[in-house]
Amino acid sequence: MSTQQVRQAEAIPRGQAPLVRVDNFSLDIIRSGDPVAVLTGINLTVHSGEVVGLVGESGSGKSTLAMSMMGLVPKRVSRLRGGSIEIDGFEVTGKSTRDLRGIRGNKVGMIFQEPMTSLDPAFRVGDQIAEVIRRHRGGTRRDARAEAIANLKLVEVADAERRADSYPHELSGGLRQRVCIAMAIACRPDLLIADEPTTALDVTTQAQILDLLRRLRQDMGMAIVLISHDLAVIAEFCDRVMVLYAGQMIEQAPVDPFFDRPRHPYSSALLQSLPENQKPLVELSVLPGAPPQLGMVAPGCRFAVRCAHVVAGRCDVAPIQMYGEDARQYRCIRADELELPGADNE
Amino acid sequence: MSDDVVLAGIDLVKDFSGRTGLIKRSTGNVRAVDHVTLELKRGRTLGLVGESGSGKSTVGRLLLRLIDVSDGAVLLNDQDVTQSKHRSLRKLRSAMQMVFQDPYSSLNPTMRVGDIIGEPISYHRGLRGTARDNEVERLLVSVGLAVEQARRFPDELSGGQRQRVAIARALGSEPDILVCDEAVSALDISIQSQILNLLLHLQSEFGLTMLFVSHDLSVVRHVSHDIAVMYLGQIVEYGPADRVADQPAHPYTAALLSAVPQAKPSSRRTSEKVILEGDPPSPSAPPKGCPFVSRCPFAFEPCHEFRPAHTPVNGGGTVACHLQTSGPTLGGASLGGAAFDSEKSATKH
Repeated sequence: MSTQQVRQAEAIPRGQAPLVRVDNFSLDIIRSGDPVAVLTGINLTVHSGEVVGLVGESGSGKSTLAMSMMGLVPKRVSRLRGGSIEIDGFEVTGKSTRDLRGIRGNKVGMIFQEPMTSLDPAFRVGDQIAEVIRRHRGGTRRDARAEAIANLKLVEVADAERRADSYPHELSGGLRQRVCIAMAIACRPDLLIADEPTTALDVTTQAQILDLLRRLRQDMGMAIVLISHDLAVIAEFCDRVMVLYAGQMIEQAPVDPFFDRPRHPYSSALLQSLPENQKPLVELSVLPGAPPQLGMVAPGCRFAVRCAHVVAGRCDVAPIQMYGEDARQYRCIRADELELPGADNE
Repeated sequence: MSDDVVLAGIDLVKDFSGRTGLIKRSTGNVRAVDHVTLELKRGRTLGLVGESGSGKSTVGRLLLRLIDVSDGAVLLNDQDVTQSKHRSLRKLRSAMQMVFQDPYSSLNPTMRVGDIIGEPISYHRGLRGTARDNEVERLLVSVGLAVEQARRFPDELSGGQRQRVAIARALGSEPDILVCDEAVSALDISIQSQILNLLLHLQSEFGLTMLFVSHDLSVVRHVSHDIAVMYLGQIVEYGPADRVADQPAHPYTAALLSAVPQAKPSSRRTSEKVILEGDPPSPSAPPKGCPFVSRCPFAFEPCHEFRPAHTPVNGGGTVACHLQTSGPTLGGASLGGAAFDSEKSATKH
């Protein structure tokens, strides 16, 4: 780690401009010629050093939102319907690959669910990390290699010099994810987007990787957006949580209040359906049905058809706005009338 | 053997010949399952938990006779079926069915749902025409699908609906035993809980005996009466689900439990994580003594030399750990949280 300058962790600066500002962002995907809304009116801020969890079921739009933050959603299959995404003051939407080069890697790094598919099987992992470093900073091959090895040490790869000469298939899943992390943080980004980084890993390996990310965040003061379907991972790792449902943000809150007392019936139902919250061998409380298909959303609350607290004529007529104040918001017209159970339900 | 044991694996061993690559270079044998003994009791669920490469799926396949054992025996209702072939194996199969992880690859995309479910009904029970169709309808309803869905193709269904179809197909031969191999791992949380409920419901309705293979401890605990924990091809701990989950006696079980993230704010605040170093050793070069010795914070001399035998644990079940018999003897007691805390610094270097 000697050649690296490691920035000290700073307290989350309040009142300072946020690192990420997603403002009323809406995106369509073009499906057989027709635009279909995948994200609608997303508002999200991430301050430097903060860890924000993005949770939702498949099809909720959480990965599309993350890809949009990197400008990775291909233009030929998508259409911006409105809004903006700013990272450290730089507008990401509508930019060309060339313009985005300054952001990707330097400002924002990203890791994905399946480390094997994000590594090139034909190159040694040390060379793949070195390539990122030379691409962004130039310098000699030798320096880049030394820095690649330093980065592998930073992500706690034992015997880094030897591992740098391994091909991806020679490494375990956990080691591959460490290599991906080393690559993502090689240029010391301010923000790391982690899209289901531990979903493909075993639970003991997951604990190792989350522990590593926690330490890197502390040492480097990096903000992290963690995307996961696993509420327990979000609970243990994040400062703040945002819940997506059918392309809309339906609740956002600091982690503890969210898990103690969720304000949206969908959040509460998700927490209730976790096996850990139920007596063994007794049927779980279940959320009926499935999320709506893309583009097939109801006119009012998008969750209304599955909601146990729905009131006809109130919930299902007009789009529901966000209620609450800045720190705690929820998209439920009945939130103030409801007392919803959280993760501690005994 | 007591008469409530429906299916048993006695001292099962499975070696895979380790030939890899185009030129079939021999890399030595890999022992995927290493002397595993387990019993499925009538109407109960045994949860088999372990990480990838632990051999848990292989055990499921050995018990169903989907692959042949290298050594050991499979007993179905006290009958040795280890060598059954052809006709007798076909009869066996109607008694034991399997549900796989990925309902996208386990269903034939060119067949309609009705035919997917109907095929085993005619194959195993000889029902044709209306009799078969009635049975398909009954099964669709019992897994919570609409009768009309018989005419659909798998790609018209959601992941949860597909898994229901896979379950209905498995029930078509009226099996006594259902093996679920990571049956809910690919599903979203809200769908996962629906399928778990369905399995619990079907068990009480049909008196099914189940083997539930999964890496997810919280899911296993929820559906299982008993739990067996596998590591590197061996069962390291076995016992009633509550005892194993609340008072683990094997250091690996304790580490596994501690690694499971908790959503409850109350349990998060009280639990300190035990983080294991490194990865499990390769099954082609297992350690000489205890399989867990290379990652165990408590390892002492005998662990490097001798494989621990299974010994009884207070509260039920058995554990294979030298801490129970020699050295700092636990003598059947569980590993307290305190014991782990004091040794935890050893896991960090």
